[in-house]
Amino acid sequence: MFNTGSVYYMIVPLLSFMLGGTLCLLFYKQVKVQRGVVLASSLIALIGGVKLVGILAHDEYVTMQVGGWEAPYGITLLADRFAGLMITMTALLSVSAALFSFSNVMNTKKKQIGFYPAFMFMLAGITGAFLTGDLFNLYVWFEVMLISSFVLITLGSRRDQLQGGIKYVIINFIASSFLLLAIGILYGTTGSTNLAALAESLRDPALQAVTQLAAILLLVSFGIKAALFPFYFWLPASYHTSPIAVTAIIAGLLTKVGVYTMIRTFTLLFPLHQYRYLQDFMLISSCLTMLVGVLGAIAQQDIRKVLAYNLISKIGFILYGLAIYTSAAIAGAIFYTLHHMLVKTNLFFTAGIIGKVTGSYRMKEISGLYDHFPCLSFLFFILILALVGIPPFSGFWAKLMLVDAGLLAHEYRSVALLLITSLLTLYSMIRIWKKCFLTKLDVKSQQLIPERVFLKQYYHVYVASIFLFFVTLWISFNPSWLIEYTQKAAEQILMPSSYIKAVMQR
Amino acid sequence: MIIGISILIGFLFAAGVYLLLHKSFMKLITGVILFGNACNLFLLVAGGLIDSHPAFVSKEQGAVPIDGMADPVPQAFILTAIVISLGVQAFVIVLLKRIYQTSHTNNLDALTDTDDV
Repeated sequence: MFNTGSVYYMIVPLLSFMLGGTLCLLFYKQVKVQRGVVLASSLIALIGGVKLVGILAHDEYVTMQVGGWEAPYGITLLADRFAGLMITMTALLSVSAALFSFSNVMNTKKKQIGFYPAFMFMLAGITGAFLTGDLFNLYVWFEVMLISSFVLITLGSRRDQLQGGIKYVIINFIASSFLLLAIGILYGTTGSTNLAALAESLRDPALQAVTQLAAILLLVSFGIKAALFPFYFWLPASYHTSPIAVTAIIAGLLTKVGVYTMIRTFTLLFPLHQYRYLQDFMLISSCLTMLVGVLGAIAQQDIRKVLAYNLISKIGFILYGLAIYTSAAIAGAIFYTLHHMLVKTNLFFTAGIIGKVTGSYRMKEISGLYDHFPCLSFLFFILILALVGIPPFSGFWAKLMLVDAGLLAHEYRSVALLLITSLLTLYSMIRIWKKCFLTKLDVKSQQLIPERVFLKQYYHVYVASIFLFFVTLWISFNPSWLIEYTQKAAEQILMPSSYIKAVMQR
Repeated sequence: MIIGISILIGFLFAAGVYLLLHKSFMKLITGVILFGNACNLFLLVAGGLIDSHPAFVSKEQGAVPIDGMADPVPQAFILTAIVISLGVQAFVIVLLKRIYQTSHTNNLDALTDTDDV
């Protein structure tokens, strides 16, 4: 478990993103060099992540005490199977987003310069949040990630970007402050911020009366970041405003970090089965998240907003798995997270292509894509099927695991709601398909350029999309290893004692 | 002393939230600052407030009993949190200035361009 080689693979993604960001700052004026640096560091991170997943298939944990200070005094970095999968997926998305962004994300070169450093530091923050085993350290990584994402969302200073940006900034500032308050309470009662040490002390029933408050503060803080039901309003207001490469990567990753930390805290620190009222809240709130998200998606006219609302509804799916709180359900939640990161990012990529081709994201103004863009149509249609969960695509396996776990836990009403939500998701996506793709182009209106010409000009965009598409297909037709892996990860998550042992042993 | 500071924190939180809910940009910034500072003070009090025994040990003293001494860890937390919240506050101020330049309004309720269907 503690051979030194595996530690390096854990730290490689984090370091490569941080070094990449620093190098991007050094080559501030040379966008071409920045692109090379971003692609190289993303690929290195991907290799590190894949190796880490391979190591974790037979090892339980990879841990590292930064600076050699023993836990609980030093800062612990720890990767379990869930973290390994998430890091690999982050690196995968960063490779594809880097490819996508080569085709001039920003309209002017000046704005493009700032994009890559912020992008890299955001990924470093995300990777750090996945790896850290310390609550205060988590707060710091969160801030690294958030401040970079503030820059990314407002880069370009268009009117709607700034208006969405201010909502995003303020609500995330409040969420981070809540996290800080929870840290204060937990440190005051237990004298530690190390997650393993905290989990050990919080078993003491005498402390639980005080730490309930911390549990609720953490729920609100991570709930805001994950866009859970009563806290989701900032997401559709801000996500769609930024350039599409930014939206794609932020939509794929940032809310998932909130989900990840939610699963981590409410299995390790506050096991949900001991806090029944939190479990009930989580169940009701995740069901409402599903429903409200998809109803919002049906109402919208902007493709990016339909996708953003669908994102909210899928966050409900994932947290439903946590609320059921069985090993099968959490395995389903992890599988769904991975599937959804891939598919949602890719859907935003294709939406970006649609926007580039037609110059608009409003469904009313787009038509005739099927006749002129067969390749794009194929991608988009398969992605719709994958998102909704039509067999044999990856969404089906993820949903099957969740539904199965829900039925085993006798939660029939919520399972029914989940299935209805999927159906409504299909409706909201088919609306886009029918309006933008299947209708004939007006004879009088401006003709679309042929796909071949477009492809030559923006081949990066297609490469990025098809790359993710093949990963989705690979998971779809070869799901058994990932299902097994997520089941092992879920069992690991539900055994906090092994986590504590792994951190405290040295 | 703890009770006094706790009441102060309560007032700071109340004022911060009150100002955050206002329409004006200036009040929003003030609200963000007050809210951030209330959080920092909360960390200090929650970590155990001990006055007149700072967490410093001089070289001549050698090993000293740590009982009754202030805990340096919450102070380190606060230092980090102050830096971060200062950065965010600076960012918010610049962002609001840019919003004022592009939208020509001082009313947060008027910033509804992104909410239209």
